[in-house]
Parts: sequence; C-alpha cells; structure tokens
Amino acid sequence: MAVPDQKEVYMAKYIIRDFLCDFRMSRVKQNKVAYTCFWMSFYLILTSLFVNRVGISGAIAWRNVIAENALMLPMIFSFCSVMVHPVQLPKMMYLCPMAPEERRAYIYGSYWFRVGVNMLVGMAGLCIVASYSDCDLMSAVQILMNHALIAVQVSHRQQVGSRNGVVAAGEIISVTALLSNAVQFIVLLDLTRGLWIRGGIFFIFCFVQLPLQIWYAKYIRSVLREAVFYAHGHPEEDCQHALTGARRGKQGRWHFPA
Amino acid sequence: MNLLQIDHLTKRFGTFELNDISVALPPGYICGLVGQNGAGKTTLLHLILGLYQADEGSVLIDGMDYRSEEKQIRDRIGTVLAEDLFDPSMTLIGNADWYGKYYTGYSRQRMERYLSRFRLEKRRKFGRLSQGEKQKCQFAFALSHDAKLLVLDEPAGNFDPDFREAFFQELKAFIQDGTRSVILATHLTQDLDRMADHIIYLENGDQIFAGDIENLRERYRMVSGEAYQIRQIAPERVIYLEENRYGARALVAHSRLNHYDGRLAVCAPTIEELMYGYAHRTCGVQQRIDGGVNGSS
Repeated sequence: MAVPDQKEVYMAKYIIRDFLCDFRMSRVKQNKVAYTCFWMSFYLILTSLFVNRVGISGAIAWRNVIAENALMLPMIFSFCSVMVHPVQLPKMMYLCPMAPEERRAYIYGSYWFRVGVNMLVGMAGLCIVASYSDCDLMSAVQILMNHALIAVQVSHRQQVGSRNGVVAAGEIISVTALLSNAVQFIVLLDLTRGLWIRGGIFFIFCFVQLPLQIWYAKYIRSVLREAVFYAHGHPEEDCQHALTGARRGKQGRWHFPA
Repeated sequence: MNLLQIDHLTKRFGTFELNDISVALPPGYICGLVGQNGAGKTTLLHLILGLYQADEGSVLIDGMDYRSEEKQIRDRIGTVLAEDLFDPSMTLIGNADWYGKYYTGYSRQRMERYLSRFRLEKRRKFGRLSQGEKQKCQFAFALSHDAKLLVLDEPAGNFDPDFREAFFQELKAFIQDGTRSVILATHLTQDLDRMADHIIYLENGDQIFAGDIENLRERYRMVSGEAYQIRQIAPERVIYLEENRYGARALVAHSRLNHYDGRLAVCAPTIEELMYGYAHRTCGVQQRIDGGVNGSS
C-alpha cells in the first residue's frame, strides 16, 4: 500500500525540516545555555590556537588544534542541539488532528533523528581525531560513549519535587563526559602514558556515568511518553503548579499544599 | 445532539479550581464566554480543545469523547488562541499548508481566498506580522479547513474596528447553515449583545450562568431613577445598587409578575451591566443562576 509509505516519507521530511528550523540563530539566542555553547565554541577554537602557539610551534601545533577541536566541538554541538530541540511539539501540533500514536511516532522519530545527527557529528569528529593522533580502539569507544551520553539527553523543563535529582544527574553526566573527553585528548596526544589515567577514566565511566545514565534513561522515557499529550508535564501546567507549591507524587498525581 | 456537551467539568490547578462546569451548545449558535480576568475562560477553552485533562466530568464534541476519538474531534475544531500558533519563520500560506495537511477539509484555495479577504499577503512571514494580523491569519486558517466548531480565545481585541465588523459577519456566515457553532471568549461584551445566542459566565472558576442569553436577560432588569423609588423594590430582588447624588441604578431580579414605578427607567441589562452588577453583588445573593436568583439575607 502506497499511503503508509507516503506518510512515513512526509513524516521524515517534516522531522528534518523541524530539526533544521530549530537551529536558527534566533532560536539559539532565545536559549541561554545554547547561546553560551555557541560562544563557547569560538572561545574553544581561539584558546586552542593560543595554547598550542600556532604559527610558532609548526605542524604539531596545528595537529593538536585540529584534534582538540574535533574532539570537543561535536560535544558542544550536541549540547546545543539538546537545548534547542526540546522533546515537545509546538502547541499547534497538539491541536491538529493526529492520533496519539501518530504524535508518538513523530516525537520518537524527532528524538532519535536528533540523537542520530549528533552521533554522526561525533563520529565525524572522532574520525578526524583518529587520523591526527594515536587513537586506539578503547579510547575511541570511550570518546564515542561520552558523546552518546550527551546526545541522548533531553532539555529540562521546570522541575517540581522529586525530579530535581534527575536534573542534577543530567548535569553531572554532561560535565563528566566533557571532562573525560578532555582527559582523553591528553592521553591521545601522548602527553602522558599513565595507565592509571586511562584506568581512572574507565572507572569513572563504569561506576559514575553508567549508573547515572541508567537512572537518567528512565527520565528520558517518561519525558518522551509525556510529550505525546499536551497536558502531562507540559511546562505551562508545571509552572502553574510550581507557583502554588504543588508536588508531583507517584504515577504523575499532583499533591497540593493544604 | 449538542455540538458541545460539557457535564460537571472540574479541573484543579493548585489553589485555582474550575468547578462543576456544565454547558450544552447546540449547532447553529454563537456562545460567548465571559468573565473577569482569571475567571477560568482560557482554562475552560483548553479543556474543550483537549489540551488539558479534566479531573472530573466530561467533554463531548459532536457526541465524541477525546479519549477514544481524538483525531476525529480535532478535525472538526478550528482554533484561534491569544498566543501565536504558527511558525514565525514560515510564510502564511506555508504555515497553512504545513498544518492544513492534517485536516481532511483543508483547502488551499479557501485559505488564499480568506487571506485575500482579510488583506494579508500570503507570502509574508508569520513572524513579521502585527498581533492583529497574526490573529487574522489564524482565523483564516480556522475557517479554511471546514471546521464544525470554532473555539476563539479573545481574538477581536486586536482587530481594528473595520475588521471587527467583518469578523462578526464571518461568524454569522459560519453558523448560517445551522450545523456549526462558535464559542468565543471575549471582553467585548457589546459585540456579544448583538451576536451571541448563548452565554457562559464564569467567576473565579465557578459557573454563574450557562445558557440562552435571552433567558438570562429576561431574569433581570436595570432600573434607574430616584434612589427612594428604587429602594421600594423588595431588597431580596436587588442584586446590585449604585447610588450617587443624581440618582441611582440597580440590577434587580425580574419576573413577568413584577411591576415598576412608572417614573423608573427599566430595561433589559447588557451583558456588561450584568457582569458588573454580579461582580459587585450585595451579600447574600445566590452565586449560581439556576431557575432564578433568590436573595437570602
């Protein structure tokens, strides 16, 4: 049957279009974190040029600059993308005649498309890093895993009650992933051969990042589920409840102050 | 069958509660939704649009429930809300085509015709329009997909007087075939006096009245004249009394059996007078209007 395929093609077209439209400068400026990431990328490039003394130290300096930026810029791009691509449809989409299943497909499709693009950018960066440094498989996998931890994140809406812990977990995951890849950069450029550094990074990944990510994954699933309906956990409803000190209990029920 | 049927609808938002709202709107009517700021008009409209989930009660659109027939219901509703619903980076016709593809009754020709009638350039970007033009565009889209129920949240406030007249003419034309209805939240009560057949009056989340506007008007009279003459009206009938050095006016409960002093000016109240009088009603006046208002001291 042609109709279902046509619908999928249209949906893919709209997902791509929405993804690209959300990367407008006006949209980035509206989000403080994304705007900060935008300027951070310039800062990172300039800093790497200055720190590596490009123009003085020869080809090695350029190698370091390219490897450093290829490692870090994709992560900043992913973080920016997480901020400007919230897991929430525009209000008009909730008013359009779509069955919940169609909206779910749209939301999940948009989310995984965004993750896929971020991972592609990360892999492109990793390829550049690998070609400019001594990157073994273990380091490559670890870099990619750190990139994935950021790519799958969802932007936080106003949190009430028990979700504050999840927000903190997301921030810890992001920061440790960034730092871990920064340390990987030092290892890759043979600036240190310390096995203990590699071991430390691996230990942090297994005992800090992975458990937090497993906990955070439940939050991602709940955000994706809730985004299917406008009412559940929508910022507007959350804001109204937050103003009155209401707390969200188990199964999404609100408990209002006496 | 009623086009819009709301039964004992309740929604709680922290300390605010939309409490026990019941409305029945048949096809072929314009229903005005009035109330002070913060009365719950937008909340009620969001519940009708299925954006919020009610804590109690039900909303049926054309006999259908959101829980089982959401897509069919949304296909029948045209919406204009106070906020921007369209993408600011796309053109007007681009936005209409983008969202119109979800509606079975959407027609690009109809949309272009309405845009032309409302003097909007279809190739302009939505983000570059003034607030009034944005509302016009959304109104054009709401009309373009052959909706059965129009849900409008204070659209006319941003319209110039010239277009406001055209807007109400469009609403009249919309309901003319007797199969469609409009529910319109507005503060422009003088327009509702001319156009509306039904009224829903909310106050602090409570439903004061919901029903036929003529029925409501027949229960009240605005009486003006000398204060001593007005004070001769039974106190339990007086909803609100305003006195100054030149005279007095009062909103009083009325029935066919009531007669008034010939020197008093008596007329049916406008919606604005009714709302004002009710908002400043004297103590002991029953809040909800059912079969009539019974003052109790």
